[in-house]
Parts: sequence; C-alpha cells; structure tokens
Amino acid sequence: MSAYILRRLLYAIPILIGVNLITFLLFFVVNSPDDMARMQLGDKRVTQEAIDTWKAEHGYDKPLLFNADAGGLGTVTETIFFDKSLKLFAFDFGQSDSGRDIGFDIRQRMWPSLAIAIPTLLVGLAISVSYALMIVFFRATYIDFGSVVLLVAMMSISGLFYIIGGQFLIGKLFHLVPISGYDTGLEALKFLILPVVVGVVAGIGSSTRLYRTFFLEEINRDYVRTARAKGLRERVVLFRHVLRNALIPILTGVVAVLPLLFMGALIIESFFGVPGLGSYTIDAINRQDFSIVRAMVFLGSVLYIIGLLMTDISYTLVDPRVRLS
Amino acid sequence: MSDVLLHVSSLSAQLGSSERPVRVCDDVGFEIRRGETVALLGESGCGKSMTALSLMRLLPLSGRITGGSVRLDGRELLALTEREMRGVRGGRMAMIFQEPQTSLNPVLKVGEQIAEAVRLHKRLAKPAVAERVVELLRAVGIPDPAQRVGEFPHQLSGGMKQRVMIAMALAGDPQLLIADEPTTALDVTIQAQVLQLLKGLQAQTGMAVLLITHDLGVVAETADRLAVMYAGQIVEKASVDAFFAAPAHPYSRKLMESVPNASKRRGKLAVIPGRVPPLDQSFTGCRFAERCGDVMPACREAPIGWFQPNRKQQVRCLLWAKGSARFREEEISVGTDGVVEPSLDQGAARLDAATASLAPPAAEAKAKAGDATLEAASASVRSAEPDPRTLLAVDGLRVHFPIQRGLFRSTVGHVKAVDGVDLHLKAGQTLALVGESGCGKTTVGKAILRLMPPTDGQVRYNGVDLASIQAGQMRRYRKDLQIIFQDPFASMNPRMLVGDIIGEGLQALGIEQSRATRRHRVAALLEQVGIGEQAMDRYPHEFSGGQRQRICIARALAVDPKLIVCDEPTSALDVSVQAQILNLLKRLQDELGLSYLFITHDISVVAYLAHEVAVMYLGRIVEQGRAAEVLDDPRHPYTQALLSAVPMMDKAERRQIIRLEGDMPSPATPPAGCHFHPRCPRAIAECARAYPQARQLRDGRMVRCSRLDTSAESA
Repeated sequence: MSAYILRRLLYAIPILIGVNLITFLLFFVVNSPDDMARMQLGDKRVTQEAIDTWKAEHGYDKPLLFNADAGGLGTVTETIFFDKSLKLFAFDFGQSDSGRDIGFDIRQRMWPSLAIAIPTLLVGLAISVSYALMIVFFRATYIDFGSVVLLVAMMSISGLFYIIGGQFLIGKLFHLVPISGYDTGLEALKFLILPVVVGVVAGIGSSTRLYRTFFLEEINRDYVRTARAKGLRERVVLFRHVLRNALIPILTGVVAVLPLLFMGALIIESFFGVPGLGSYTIDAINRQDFSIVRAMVFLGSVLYIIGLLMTDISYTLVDPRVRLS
Repeated sequence: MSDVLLHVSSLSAQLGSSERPVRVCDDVGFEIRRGETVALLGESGCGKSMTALSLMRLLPLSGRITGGSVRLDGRELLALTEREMRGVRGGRMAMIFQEPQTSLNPVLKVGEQIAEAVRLHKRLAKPAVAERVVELLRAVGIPDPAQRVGEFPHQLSGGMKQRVMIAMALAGDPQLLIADEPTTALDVTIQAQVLQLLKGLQAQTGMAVLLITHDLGVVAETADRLAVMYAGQIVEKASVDAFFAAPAHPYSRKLMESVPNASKRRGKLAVIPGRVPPLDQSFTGCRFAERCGDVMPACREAPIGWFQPNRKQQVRCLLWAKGSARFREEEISVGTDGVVEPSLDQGAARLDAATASLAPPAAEAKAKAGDATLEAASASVRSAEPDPRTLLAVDGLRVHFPIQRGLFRSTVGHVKAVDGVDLHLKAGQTLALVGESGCGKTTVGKAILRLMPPTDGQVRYNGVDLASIQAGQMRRYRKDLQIIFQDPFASMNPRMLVGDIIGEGLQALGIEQSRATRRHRVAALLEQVGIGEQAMDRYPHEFSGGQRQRICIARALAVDPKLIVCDEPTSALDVSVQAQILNLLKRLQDELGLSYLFITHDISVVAYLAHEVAVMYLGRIVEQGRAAEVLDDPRHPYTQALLSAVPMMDKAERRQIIRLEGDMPSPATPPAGCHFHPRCPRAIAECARAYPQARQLRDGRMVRCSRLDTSAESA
C-alpha cells in the first residue's frame, strides 16, 4: 500500500513537469512578455521604453530560458523560466502584476472559499443520496416518474438563473439575508447562507439522477435477490445491501473533487461578492494578471492529481475487493 | 400431518406489460413430499426459474402471479400478506441460486450475511447468533469456520461460496430448499461435493429439495421425482427411475437423445428442430407441436390434458390418449441413428438429411447392436487405420505470467498457467484437452495460436516452430490455424454485419480481395454451416445462441483452415443446441478433414467427439491417450476422480464418486512434487518430492503418476 502511494507520487512528478512546461509555453512563448506589457499599459501610445520599464518592474526583463550574459549558474537561474515557472514547484508564486504577494493572497482567500464549498458539498450530498434512495424505494411508480421529470428540469436550468432568482427572492423580496458581500467571524454566516443554498439547489438535479442510476444498477443484482430470499424487509435490503454497494462509486466520486474545493466556486463567489479563490481567479482573468492565473492553473493541477490519488486510495477503504499493488 | 409438503396447482405468472404479457409459467402444478427431492428440468427460457421465484413470491418488478395456489404445509402462500410472506422466505422455504459469485453481497463479510438470516428467523442472543453462524458453516463443510466468518466473499473459491449460500439458506431450518441450478457454475468435482453435501443435509434435517436444473445427469443422480418444463408448462411428471427408463413426452425423449456420450460416437446426436416458441403469445394446442416428430392434427386443436402411461408417469401428450404405449418399438430401442428431422432451419436440415442417408446401412446396423460391441468395433476400426501424420506437435510449452510487487514492480514470482505441456494432434482427428477451470487449458489454446506469447517450448505445425518465428511470419499460418470461442454472444462485433464478420479474415489475409467473390464465398460458408446466405446482411443479435455459434464456425472456416482450436464451443448453449453444434463439427471434420483441438470441461462431449484425450491439472498434462481407453479405464488418480464426479443418466455407468478434498491450488504456488498429491487419495510421502516422470503404458497412453499399478503392464 505505502509502496503504491509512493509510486503514484513519483508518477505525479513527470505530470507536474509537463503541466509546468505547457503553462510556461502558453504564458511566455505564445503570449510574450512584450504582449503582456502592451496589454497592461493600454494600447495607445506604447513606446518600447515604457514596455521595457514595465518589464523591468515586474521581473520580465530576463531572457526566457538561457541567459548568456550572466556567468556560471546564472545562465540558467537568471531567466524567466527559473524565476516564474520553476519556483512554482516550491509553491513560491511570486508577486502579482499589481505587486501583491500571491501566496499570501491565496492563504487569505481560501477560507471564504472553503466556507462555501464544504457546506455546499455535504448538504448537497445528503439531500441527493436521500432523495435518490427515496425514488428507488418507490421505483416504477408515479413518484419515480415525476421525480425524474423534476430532476431533468432542474439540471436543464442554467446556474445563473438559480443565482439571480435566489438573490431576487430571498434577498430582495423577503429581505432574509443580504444579497451579496462578506464579513469576518460569525457575521459571515448570513452572507454564506444564500450562496450555499443556491449551490445545493443547482447541483441536486444532476447528482440525484446519477445516484438514482447507481442505486437502480445495484438493486437488480443477484445479491439483492438473495437478501430478499432471506426474508429481509425492503427497507433493510435498501439500507444494508444496496446503499453500501452504491456508496462505493458515490464516495469515490466525492473524494476526487475534495481537493478542488480549495479552488472555490468561480461564478457563485463572483456573484455574491465573496472574496474567495474563485472570485480571485475570475478577477485576475479580467485584469489579465497572468501571474495569478498561472499560479492558480498550477495549483489546480496539483490538487487534481492529489484528488485522483485519494480516489484510488479511498477505493481500498470502502471496497474490500480492491487491493492496490 | 399430511405427507405432501408443497402443493402447487395451476400456478400462472406473467412478466411485462398487461397488453402483451410474457407468460413465464402457465398452469403449473406439482407437489413435493416431505424429505424428497423433486427436480424441475428444462432448457433455458422454459420458465423454471420464474416458477421458483413465483413460489417465493420474488418475481421481478414487472412480474405478477395471475392465478393458482401454492400451499406449503397446508398454508396458502399466495394469500399471505407481504409481512407474513417474509417470515416464510428464508424461514420455512429457502432458496439458493446459480451464481454464487454474484449472489453474495461483495462488501459484507460472509459471517455477517449468514448472521442476518439467523437473526431474522431465530430469536437468539448476540453470542448465540455468532455461535450458530459458525455451526452452520461447519455443517456445510467449510474448514476453519471461525476464521471464515470474518472473510469477504471474494476471498473464497466458487465451491466455498456456494456452501456459504447453502449455510445461509439453512439458517432458518427450512422445510423446503429451492436450489436454482446450484452447481451449473461449478466444476464437476466441486459439483459432486456440493450435491453430496445437499444430500447429506437432507438426510440430517429431513427437508425437501426442489432442484431446478437443465442437467439430466444431475437429475438422475439426485432427484426422486421430476417434472419436465417446456415453454412455461410442465409436460411430464414422473419418478426418476420411470423417466430414465422410458421418457414419455417427445420433448423429454429428444432431450435425452441429444445428450452426447460415448455410446453415441458413431451416429449423429438427435436435434430438436426449430426453437422454443416465444411466450408472449397464446397457445391453443400442444406447445411442442411445431418441433415434434410425432405431431398429429389433434395436437394443435385444443389444450392437451394429462395422460398416465403407467403408475409412475404423467404426460401432457396425445400419443398416450389411448392408454397404451404409442411409440413404435424400434424408436425406443434405437440410440440416435436414423432419427429423421422434419425441418431444421432450412440448410441444416437438408445437409443433415443428406448425411443421414449417406450413412452405410452396415454402420447403422452396428449402431443398433448395442453399446459394448459398438465400442469394441470402433476401437478395432481405428487401430486398423494407418497412422495419420502428426499435424501439430506441442513440446514443453510454458506460459508464465509475472507477479509484480513493490515500489518498482519487480517480479517476485510467476503464475505458471501452463508449465510444460506436450501434445500431439494428428491430421483429421480431434484431441480433447480436458480440465477444470483454472487448469490452464484455454491458455494452451491461445499460446498455440500465439494469441498469447509462450514463455518457452515449441509449437511445431507441419514442422515449423510457431513459437519461435517472427510475429510477422505468423500471418502466413493464421490461415491454417483458427479458433472458436466459448461465448458466441461476446465473440462477435455487435456492430458488424454477419457477412463482414465472416469475410474479414478473407480480406485481411488477402485470400479473396474482390468484394463480389468474397460475398459469394461467404454465402457458401453460411450455407455450409446451415444458416443460409440471407444471414449475410443481418447483425449478430438477430440470431439465437446456436445460430451465432454456427456463424462463428463459418468465420473460422472462411480461410480454409487445417486446424481449429475449439475453446468450450458449446458450454454456453443448451443441450439440444449443443447437439446441433457437435453434429456440425463432426460433419465438417468428415467432409473437410479438419483437425480439432477441443478444449472443454465436459466429459460427455469428449466421449462423443474426441479421438484422443489429454487431461490437464494445474498447468500440466497428467494423462493422455486414446479417448475410449482413457475414459473407460482412467489410470491417473485425478482422471479417475474427475470421471467419477460426472453425473450419469444411466445407473449402470455410474462409478463410486471419488471425493476430492478442497480446491485446486493456485498456479502461482503449486504444491511441491506432484501437483495433485495434496488432494490425491493414493498419495504417499514420496509424491511430495518430485513431479513424476511421464510413463508410457502398453496401450500407448502417457500417465504422470508414480503410484500407478503397473503389475499388469510390462512397459
């Protein structure tokens, strides 16, 4: 087992190097530092001097890969690749184009993101699993049929509709919670309720429908027939036999996205004015602040790899048949 | 207290929509007395499993019982509420299923799964439940029961899992055990263990057993009485002795005649033309009328009632309407020859009829003379023939799979799936490779065709070592060596037309490049296997299992091969369909001079088809020789045990079952010395030291056993 984890971590190294090289190509070769400077300074009357000054201020004045002027080790270290890309491996994200420490910002902003993402995930999971189980209990009846229609309708509606509708209904008409904003400490609670509710409602349709098929797949298995032949009640059959087996794909699916919760929810955070990592990324894209975007892309890849590894490990914990080797 | 435990009368059940219901069982009635075993016999799709599920009231969601009565010990089950019925299920009446692999919950420990049933039907304190679980596991013959309680199903072998299922069924001390094909998924030696276990438990507890099976041999050996089901209806009820002496219904007779065995070697097996009618129609007359050789106009006119040819038999057939035996005398005594089929699917019928008429009258007379003389005759005929040349010689074939562990996946051992196999196949003959699942027989077949790389050894085909030539050169020999797989459903691309499937080999090997000539050839091939050329533009799913296997055979034949590896080609098929395929294979061998390497676990097929037999155990051949000699007088203890475990219809042919302990060991860690010695009834200390050398007996066969009784031999 530990050998397996170690080997998987070793496998992650070439993937990370690949991610790093591709982001470097995209951000510095396809889109050169000169382009970046021109974009930041505005298109009008940009002189080569202004570009050079901007590049020097933000540390983009070095050669990309190879610095012939600097002697010795400097030929390699005094380059944009070393400064901006290799340092990502040490989670040294450097400064944003507006001069702030990216690492500090991330550490600050991940808490509001988690404060929304974790409750959304847990509440959504609880509702979807229970609802799916209920549908399966009443399978092939009008409850089943009507629920599927409802779920398909729910997943067909755009997420933006839930956001705007929620803000209008709960925030504006009933004045229950503020429409948007954020605060520190317990005060943050009233700002969190609405995004969490909207996030849960927006996700119910697709996840419940997926879990319903997991349950239906299990309920037609031979061991369920065996359980019924023992004389067990349908309720016991569902909870002890069907649920246990269907939870395997459900849980491992959840584990895969756990690390990505750090990245925050892009749209919800922006709409509700929550200063999390999702809105951080969106803002950076809007401002063309490529240092931040690059840092988030790299961070996302790392978290995704961790998610996949955790999925494989979680299989061994919930499914006695799986042994990793 | 009456003698009858279960009384079923006019039970009917349907599946699917009420507009066009599938009548899975229709007016089914039978009874089971206390402590007896009743077999429900029939081919797939005849409704026997659905009848069993109806008794338990466990029909699938779309199913419903539409009428009739099921009385268990005088209590009407169909009138019970669901809550009361739950007390009966697993309590008074328990059920075990075909596939122990999937019938146990994979994520619950076996102890927990049995305890669940115990808690439900017995009011016991917690420690008493745990005790009872261990006791049940011990009762079904599981070694170290206290330990097994904590294991998961996947840690147990197939036979052990079926024992766990039985333990679970016994938890409520049932009066009736319904066993739905309990041994179909198991190897024959394991099947013998499980059947013996059921018999023993029955003797101890006095429970009755309803055994659902398609295997006539199993019925003959275990049941007291039987009911034959056809198309949702019971067509014959009889005591086992009376039934096997003279089956009364034409369907029963055909079924019995289509089972292959040694005494039918010379002739063709009886086949039942046509298919089981779909059950979503309403029937007026006899359901078997369309396929029956003795059909009369009256058969189709009105529902057939019950007739009683003798005290121990009841049959739904008008042939018995006059009370006397209506079958002509010679038909009862005849084995299989000369059974005329009215209309098989067009082509096959024509061809079969042709071969039947071609058979010389002398051979037919000989076939009627009786089994013993027939065996002798065929043996003498074969020895008089000049020795055909060897087509394929396999020498020391090894296929090892590495076991990799640790950080850098270093190889820590090998699964020795095939470990030094020698085989010789002569042109125009059939060599059967027999063994139980996991012995490596399929791997041998694949390694010969280089579908799997051999680790070591030679595969000389016409003198060329196929194991050592370049992969590119192998293409030349693909034309000569073909394979037919076990599952005709899975081995054809479902999105390709039948014509393209068959023609693909012709195209790939550059035999027929032009499309027109290729189509012409494919049409001829389809005609040859008895399907008809109109099948060319259809998809595989439009055909039944037997027809698909014919298509697979046509695909193999397309490139005009010399040798076909048949990997369990009939084990997914019903016995009457199997007969058609075996007849076809035999006819093709006679016509085209094909050689078959026939890989199978079914001894009766071997006896019927093979010239030579090689018996395989754990990666090695333990005994090899002429089919008649090996099967009549097995010398290796494993062959003896294997043959003794095969259930026989004929009482005279039954041998004392040699019970093997435990399961086949893993090929990753084979036992030291003779691989078979830990299970061998004749093993001595010496057997654990070295693998015995091959010994040639006087009759030319090879046996690898150091405990051979060679006093009669001078070799």
